[in-house]
Amino acid sequence: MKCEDMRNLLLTDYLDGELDAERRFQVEVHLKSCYQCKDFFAEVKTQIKNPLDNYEVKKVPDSIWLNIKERIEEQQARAFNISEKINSWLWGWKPALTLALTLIIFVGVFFINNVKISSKAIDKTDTTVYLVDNEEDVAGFGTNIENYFL
Amino acid sequence: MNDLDKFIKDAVNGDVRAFEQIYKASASFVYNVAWSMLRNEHDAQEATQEVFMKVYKELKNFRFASSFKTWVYRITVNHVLNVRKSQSRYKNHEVMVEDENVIDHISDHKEQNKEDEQEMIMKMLDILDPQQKMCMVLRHLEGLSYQQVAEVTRMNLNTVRTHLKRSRELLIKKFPRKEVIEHEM
Ligand SMILES: [Zn+2]
Repeated sequence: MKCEDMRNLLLTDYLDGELDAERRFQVEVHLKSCYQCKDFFAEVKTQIKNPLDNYEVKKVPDSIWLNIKERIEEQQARAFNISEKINSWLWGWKPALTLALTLIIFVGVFFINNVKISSKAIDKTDTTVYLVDNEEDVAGFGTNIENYFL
Repeated sequence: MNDLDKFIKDAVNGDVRAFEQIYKASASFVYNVAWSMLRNEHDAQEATQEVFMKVYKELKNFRFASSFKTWVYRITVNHVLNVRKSQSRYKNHEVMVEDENVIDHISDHKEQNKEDEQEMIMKMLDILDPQQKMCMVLRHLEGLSYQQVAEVTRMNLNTVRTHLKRSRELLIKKFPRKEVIEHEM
Protein backbone atom coordinates (compact mmCIF):
# COMPACT_ATOMS: atom_id res chain seq x y z
CA MET A 1 0.00 0.00 0.00
CA LYS A 2 1.24 3.48 -0.87
CA CYS A 3 1.90 5.99 1.91
CA GLU A 4 -0.83 8.26 0.56
CA ASP A 5 -3.49 5.53 0.77
CA MET A 6 -2.13 4.63 4.15
CA ARG A 7 -2.56 8.17 5.43
CA ASN A 8 -6.18 8.25 4.32
CA LEU A 9 -6.79 5.23 6.50
CA LEU A 10 -4.75 6.68 9.35
CA LEU A 11 -6.91 9.82 9.27
CA THR A 12 -10.19 7.94 9.16
CA ASP A 13 -11.06 4.24 9.49
CA TYR A 14 -7.89 3.13 11.27
CA LEU A 15 -8.04 6.02 13.75
CA ASP A 16 -11.73 5.41 14.42
CA GLY A 17 -11.51 1.63 14.75
CA GLU A 18 -13.67 1.03 11.70
CA LEU A 19 -11.35 -1.43 9.94
CA ASP A 20 -11.75 -5.19 9.90
CA ALA A 21 -8.93 -7.29 11.40
CA GLU A 22 -7.23 -8.00 8.09
CA ARG A 23 -6.96 -4.39 6.95
CA ARG A 24 -5.97 -3.28 10.42
CA PHE A 25 -3.13 -5.78 10.28
CA GLN A 26 -1.99 -4.39 6.91
CA VAL A 27 -1.85 -0.89 8.36
CA GLU A 28 0.09 -2.06 11.39
CA VAL A 29 2.63 -3.85 9.25
CA HIS A 30 3.15 -0.65 7.26
CA LEU A 31 3.46 1.47 10.40
CA LYS A 32 6.26 -0.79 11.64
CA SER A 33 8.28 -0.30 8.51
CA CYS A 34 7.50 3.32 7.56
CA TYR A 35 8.83 6.00 9.86
CA GLN A 36 7.00 8.88 8.12
CA CYS A 37 3.58 7.27 8.42
CA LYS A 38 4.30 6.27 11.99
CA ASP A 39 5.24 9.84 12.85
CA PHE A 40 2.23 11.21 11.01
CA PHE A 41 -0.10 8.92 12.95
CA ALA A 42 1.53 9.87 16.26
CA GLU A 43 0.84 13.52 15.48
CA VAL A 44 -2.80 12.86 14.57
CA LYS A 45 -3.22 11.06 17.86
CA THR A 46 -1.57 13.63 20.13
CA GLN A 47 -2.97 16.71 18.38
CA ILE A 48 -6.49 15.57 17.57
CA LYS A 49 -7.68 12.22 18.79
CA ASN A 50 -6.42 12.31 22.38
CA PRO A 51 -7.53 15.86 23.30
CA LEU A 52 -10.96 15.29 21.74
CA ASP A 53 -11.47 11.85 23.24
CA ASN A 54 -10.51 13.22 26.65
CA TYR A 55 -12.93 16.10 26.36
CA GLU A 56 -15.36 15.90 29.25
CA VAL A 57 -18.93 16.52 28.21
CA LYS A 58 -20.72 19.21 30.17
CA LYS A 59 -23.20 18.45 32.91
CA VAL A 60 -26.73 19.37 31.89
CA PRO A 61 -28.05 22.28 34.03
CA ASP A 62 -31.13 21.32 36.09
CA SER A 63 -32.94 24.46 34.97
CA ILE A 64 -33.44 22.98 31.48
CA TRP A 65 -35.71 20.18 32.67
CA LEU A 66 -37.57 22.54 34.97
CA ASN A 67 -38.32 24.84 32.03
CA ILE A 68 -39.43 21.96 29.82
CA LYS A 69 -41.64 20.62 32.60
CA GLU A 70 -43.19 24.04 33.09
CA ARG A 71 -43.90 24.41 29.37
CA ILE A 72 -45.48 20.95 29.14
CA GLU A 73 -47.64 21.59 32.18
CA GLU A 74 -48.72 24.94 30.71
CA GLN A 75 -49.70 23.19 27.49
CA GLN A 76 -51.62 20.57 29.41
CA ALA A 77 -53.40 23.25 31.44
CA ARG A 78 -54.33 25.09 28.25
CA ALA A 79 -55.69 21.90 26.67
CA PHE A 80 -57.63 21.23 29.90
CA ASN A 81 -59.03 24.78 29.86
CA ILE A 82 -60.35 24.30 26.34
CA SER A 83 -62.25 21.16 27.32
CA GLU A 84 -63.41 23.01 30.45
CA LYS A 85 -64.76 25.82 28.27
CA ILE A 86 -66.66 23.41 26.06
CA ASN A 87 -68.07 21.78 29.18
CA SER A 88 -69.06 25.03 30.83
CA TRP A 89 -70.56 26.24 27.57
CA LEU A 90 -72.73 23.14 27.45
CA TRP A 91 -73.64 23.50 31.13
CA GLY A 92 -74.36 27.20 30.60
CA TRP A 93 -76.97 26.20 28.06
CA LYS A 94 -78.46 23.66 30.42
CA PRO A 95 -81.60 25.75 31.30
CA ALA A 96 -82.22 26.38 27.63
CA LEU A 97 -81.77 22.71 26.82
CA THR A 98 -84.11 21.74 29.67
CA LEU A 99 -86.68 24.22 28.39
CA ALA A 100 -86.42 22.86 24.87
CA LEU A 101 -86.85 19.32 26.17
CA THR A 102 -89.88 20.41 28.22
CA LEU A 103 -91.38 22.04 25.16
CA ILE A 104 -90.92 18.90 23.11
CA ILE A 105 -92.64 16.81 25.79
CA PHE A 106 -95.52 19.31 26.04
CA VAL A 107 -95.90 19.41 22.30
CA GLY A 108 -95.86 15.63 22.20
CA VAL A 109 -98.51 15.32 24.92
CA PHE A 110 -100.75 17.97 23.35
CA PHE A 111 -100.35 16.48 19.96
CA ILE A 112 -101.42 13.05 21.18
CA ASN A 113 -104.35 14.53 23.15
CA ASN A 114 -105.47 16.75 20.25
CA VAL A 115 -105.27 13.90 17.82
CA LYS A 116 -107.73 12.10 20.12
CA ILE A 117 -109.94 15.23 20.31
CA SER A 118 -109.71 15.95 16.63
CA SER A 119 -111.01 12.51 15.89
CA LYS A 120 -114.23 14.11 17.18
CA ALA A 121 -115.14 17.48 15.59
CA ILE A 122 -113.16 20.56 16.75
CA ASP A 123 -113.89 24.29 16.78
CA LYS A 124 -111.45 26.37 14.69
CA THR A 125 -111.51 29.23 17.27
CA ASP A 126 -109.31 27.04 19.49
CA THR A 127 -106.36 27.91 17.27
CA THR A 128 -105.92 31.30 19.05
CA VAL A 129 -102.26 31.70 19.98
CA TYR A 130 -101.42 33.08 23.43
CA LEU A 131 -97.92 34.43 23.90
CA VAL A 132 -98.30 35.43 27.55
CA ASP A 133 -96.19 32.66 29.12
CA ASN A 134 -94.57 29.40 28.34
CA GLU A 135 -97.48 27.13 29.00
CA GLU A 136 -99.85 29.08 26.78
CA ASP A 137 -97.14 29.40 24.18
CA VAL A 138 -96.83 25.65 24.21
CA ALA A 139 -100.60 25.31 24.00
CA GLY A 140 -100.75 27.65 21.02
CA PHE A 141 -97.83 25.93 19.42
CA GLY A 142 -99.54 22.61 19.95
CA THR A 143 -102.74 23.71 18.27
CA ASN A 144 -100.81 25.24 15.37
CA ILE A 145 -99.07 21.99 14.76
CA GLU A 146 -102.42 20.30 15.02
CA ASN A 147 -103.78 22.68 12.35
CA TYR A 148 -100.83 22.01 10.20
CA PHE A 149 -101.45 18.30 10.37
CA LEU A 150 -105.15 18.71 9.85
CA MET B 1 -42.61 -4.01 26.43
CA ASN B 2 -39.33 -2.52 27.69
CA ASP B 3 -39.04 0.48 30.01
CA LEU B 4 -38.56 2.99 27.21
CA ASP B 5 -41.64 1.78 25.33
CA LYS B 6 -43.64 2.12 28.52
CA PHE B 7 -42.28 5.62 29.21
CA ILE B 8 -43.16 6.66 25.66
CA LYS B 9 -46.69 5.29 25.99
CA ASP B 10 -47.21 6.98 29.36
CA ALA B 11 -45.70 10.26 28.18
CA VAL B 12 -48.05 10.31 25.17
CA ASN B 13 -50.90 10.02 27.66
CA GLY B 14 -49.63 13.13 29.44
CA ASP B 15 -47.46 11.59 32.18
CA VAL B 16 -44.77 14.23 32.77
CA ARG B 17 -42.71 11.92 34.99
CA ALA B 18 -42.50 9.35 32.20
CA PHE B 19 -41.31 12.10 29.88
CA GLU B 20 -38.69 13.06 32.46
CA GLN B 21 -37.20 9.56 32.14
CA ILE B 22 -37.07 9.96 28.36
CA TYR B 23 -35.43 13.35 28.85
CA LYS B 24 -32.82 11.95 31.24
CA ALA B 25 -31.84 9.24 28.75
CA SER B 26 -30.81 11.72 26.05
CA ALA B 27 -30.45 15.16 27.66
CA SER B 28 -26.66 14.94 27.85
CA PHE B 29 -26.39 14.19 24.14
CA VAL B 30 -28.76 16.99 23.14
CA TYR B 31 -27.21 19.60 25.43
CA ASN B 32 -23.60 18.77 24.58
CA VAL B 33 -24.16 18.67 20.84
CA ALA B 34 -25.98 21.99 21.12
CA TRP B 35 -23.26 23.48 23.32
CA SER B 36 -20.37 22.37 21.09
CA MET B 37 -22.07 23.58 17.94
CA LEU B 38 -23.56 26.84 19.21
CA ARG B 39 -20.79 27.73 21.67
CA ASN B 40 -22.79 29.65 24.18
CA GLU B 41 -24.72 28.64 27.22
CA HIS B 42 -27.93 30.51 26.46
CA ASP B 43 -28.34 29.14 22.93
CA ALA B 44 -27.45 25.63 24.09
CA GLN B 45 -30.08 25.69 26.83
CA GLU B 46 -32.70 27.11 24.52
CA ALA B 47 -31.91 24.56 21.79
CA THR B 48 -32.14 21.71 24.30
CA GLN B 49 -35.56 22.91 25.42
CA GLU B 50 -36.78 23.29 21.86
CA VAL B 51 -35.58 19.80 20.90
CA PHE B 52 -37.43 18.21 23.81
CA MET B 53 -40.58 20.22 23.16
CA LYS B 54 -40.46 18.88 19.59
CA VAL B 55 -39.91 15.36 20.88
CA TYR B 56 -42.86 15.77 23.25
CA LYS B 57 -45.08 17.12 20.50
CA GLU B 58 -44.13 14.42 17.98
CA LEU B 59 -44.04 11.56 20.48
CA LYS B 60 -47.50 10.33 19.55
CA ASN B 61 -46.38 10.04 15.92
CA PHE B 62 -43.26 8.06 16.76
CA ARG B 63 -43.78 4.66 15.19
CA PHE B 64 -40.87 2.68 16.66
CA ALA B 65 -39.67 2.17 13.09
CA SER B 66 -36.30 3.76 13.83
CA SER B 67 -34.69 3.47 17.21
CA PHE B 68 -35.90 6.11 19.61
CA LYS B 69 -32.41 7.47 20.29
CA THR B 70 -31.66 7.82 16.59
CA TRP B 71 -34.92 9.72 16.22
CA VAL B 72 -34.11 12.13 19.09
CA TYR B 73 -30.53 12.57 17.82
CA ARG B 74 -31.82 13.41 14.34
CA ILE B 75 -34.15 16.07 15.71
CA THR B 76 -31.19 17.46 17.66
CA VAL B 77 -28.77 17.58 14.71
CA ASN B 78 -31.40 19.14 12.50
CA HIS B 79 -32.44 21.76 15.04
CA VAL B 80 -28.89 22.68 16.07
CA LEU B 81 -27.72 23.10 12.46
CA ASN B 82 -30.73 25.33 11.80
CA VAL B 83 -30.00 27.51 14.84
CA ARG B 84 -26.38 27.65 13.80
CA LYS B 85 -27.41 28.97 10.39
CA SER B 86 -29.29 31.80 12.06
CA GLN B 87 -26.37 32.69 14.32
CA SER B 88 -24.94 35.44 12.17
CA ARG B 89 -22.00 35.96 14.47
CA TYR B 90 -20.57 32.65 13.27
CA LYS B 91 -20.31 33.84 9.71
CA ASN B 92 -16.78 35.03 10.31
CA HIS B 93 -15.88 32.61 13.06
CA GLU B 94 -12.66 31.53 11.35
CA VAL B 95 -11.24 34.99 11.81
CA MET B 96 -12.08 34.81 15.48
CA VAL B 97 -9.97 31.71 16.02
CA GLU B 98 -6.70 32.86 14.58
CA ASP B 99 -5.24 32.38 18.05
CA GLU B 100 -1.82 30.89 17.42
CA ASN B 101 -1.53 29.84 21.02
CA VAL B 102 -4.46 27.47 20.99
CA ILE B 103 -2.52 24.31 20.31
CA ASP B 104 0.42 25.29 22.51
CA HIS B 105 -2.03 25.48 25.38
CA ILE B 106 -3.44 22.09 24.55
CA SER B 107 0.00 20.48 24.40
CA ASP B 108 1.11 22.19 27.58
CA HIS B 109 -1.15 20.45 30.07
CA LYS B 110 0.63 21.51 33.25
CA GLU B 111 0.16 25.22 32.80
CA GLN B 112 -3.59 25.32 32.65
CA ASN B 113 -6.64 24.07 34.41
CA LYS B 114 -9.08 21.60 33.03
CA GLU B 115 -11.62 24.25 32.08
CA ASP B 116 -9.16 26.20 29.93
CA GLU B 117 -8.09 23.00 28.27
CA GLN B 118 -11.68 22.13 27.42
CA GLU B 119 -12.21 25.60 26.01
CA MET B 120 -9.08 25.29 23.87
CA ILE B 121 -10.34 22.04 22.38
CA MET B 122 -13.62 23.74 21.50
CA LYS B 123 -11.74 26.65 19.93
CA MET B 124 -9.88 24.18 17.76
CA LEU B 125 -13.14 22.79 16.42
CA ASP B 126 -14.42 26.29 15.69
CA ILE B 127 -12.29 26.46 12.55
CA LEU B 128 -14.38 23.70 10.95
CA ASP B 129 -17.54 24.29 8.97
CA PRO B 130 -20.81 23.18 10.62
CA GLN B 131 -21.11 19.85 8.79
CA GLN B 132 -17.50 18.91 9.49
CA LYS B 133 -17.77 19.98 13.08
CA MET B 134 -21.00 18.05 13.60
CA CYS B 135 -19.30 14.86 12.38
CA MET B 136 -16.31 15.46 14.67
CA VAL B 137 -18.52 16.17 17.69
CA LEU B 138 -20.65 13.08 17.10
CA ARG B 139 -17.60 10.91 16.56
CA HIS B 140 -15.26 12.13 19.31
CA LEU B 141 -17.50 13.64 21.99
CA GLU B 142 -20.43 11.29 21.66
CA GLY B 143 -18.54 8.22 20.47
CA LEU B 144 -20.84 7.39 17.54
CA SER B 145 -19.67 4.97 14.85
CA TYR B 146 -19.55 6.01 11.17
CA GLN B 147 -22.82 4.18 10.59
CA GLN B 148 -24.48 5.99 13.50
CA VAL B 149 -23.16 9.39 12.43
CA ALA B 150 -24.53 8.72 8.94
CA GLU B 151 -27.96 7.78 10.30
CA VAL B 152 -28.20 10.72 12.65
CA THR B 153 -27.03 13.35 10.13
CA ARG B 154 -28.77 11.63 7.18
CA MET B 155 -25.47 11.78 5.33
CA ASN B 156 -23.99 9.11 3.16
CA LEU B 157 -21.35 6.99 4.94
CA ASN B 158 -18.64 8.18 2.58
CA THR B 159 -19.64 11.80 3.14
CA VAL B 160 -19.16 11.27 6.87
CA ARG B 161 -15.74 9.74 6.23
CA THR B 162 -14.77 12.65 3.97
CA HIS B 163 -15.90 15.23 6.55
CA LEU B 164 -13.81 13.55 9.24
CA LYS B 165 -10.78 13.30 6.98
CA ARG B 166 -10.98 16.95 5.91
CA SER B 167 -11.51 18.09 9.48
CA ARG B 168 -8.44 16.26 10.70
CA GLU B 169 -6.31 17.44 7.81
CA LEU B 170 -7.35 21.02 8.54
CA LEU B 171 -6.71 20.68 12.26
CA ILE B 172 -3.25 19.15 11.74
CA LYS B 173 -2.38 21.88 9.30
CA LYS B 174 -3.59 24.64 11.59
CA PHE B 175 -2.37 23.15 14.84
CA PRO B 176 0.72 21.08 14.12
CA ARG B 177 2.74 19.48 16.87
CA LYS B 178 5.09 21.96 18.51
CA GLU B 179 8.24 19.87 18.02
CA VAL B 180 7.49 19.61 14.31
CA ILE B 181 7.46 23.38 13.92
CA GLU B 182 10.74 23.70 15.80
CA HIS B 183 12.22 20.92 13.70
CA GLU B 184 11.20 22.60 10.48
CA MET B 185 12.56 25.94 11.66
ZN1 LIG C 1 4.20 5.15 4.83
